[in-house]
Amino acid sequence: MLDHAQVRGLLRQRPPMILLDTVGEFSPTSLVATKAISGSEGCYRDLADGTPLAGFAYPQALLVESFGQACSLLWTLAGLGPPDRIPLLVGVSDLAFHSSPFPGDVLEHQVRLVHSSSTACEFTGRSHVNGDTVLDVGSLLVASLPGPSPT
Amino acid sequence: MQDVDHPVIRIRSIVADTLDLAPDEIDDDQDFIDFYRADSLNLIEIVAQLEKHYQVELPLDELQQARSVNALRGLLVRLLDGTRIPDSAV
Repeated sequence: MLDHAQVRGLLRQRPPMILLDTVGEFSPTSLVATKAISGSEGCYRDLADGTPLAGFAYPQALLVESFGQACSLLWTLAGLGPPDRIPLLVGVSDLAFHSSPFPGDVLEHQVRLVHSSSTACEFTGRSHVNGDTVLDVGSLLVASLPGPSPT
Repeated sequence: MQDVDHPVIRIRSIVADTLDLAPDEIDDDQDFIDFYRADSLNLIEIVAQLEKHYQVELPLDELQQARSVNALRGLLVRLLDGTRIPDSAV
């Protein structure tokens, strides 16, 4: 539904922190987005030669950030805040990490809107790799703050 | 046994949970920011939980004056029809 050029045009983040590739499904209350993990990403740059596969587990912080960017896209596409505002992450709770994703895997984030008001929006959802859940997010809360519009 | 659906108990519980305190540590008249050192993000968390529970939108401009359990309860009473939220404090 959205290719990478469109995703990049909507996200406020800039390289190297654009952690989404495409959006496959969208409704005003839900969104499915993907991110392909590559061994050439910056998080693997300083690993020593001979690092075993376990060392290439995708960092949990980046996994949550990628999920959060999917929430940000839903916020934008669903018009949950005016164009002159940006979604600021307030907090994440009830996180559960399952199996680790690795280079070569494609993350699929399934995001759902739980609550929306002019003060805050709350999302929930999970991330999969080939049907296996790698992350559950009970609650991700954002607030709308004044900020630059996407170019 | 306390009625967990009573608004003051509900608001106190949400505030305590957000500020990582026990409910009996919360004074219903104390300012969240001045007394408990809550920050603006804590307040947004509290507001979001209350909005979800009571299915009401709390106007941003009114929240500046609603920084205690009792003040929030007063705001909710005013915004709701009065039948959805009891008017007597515990």
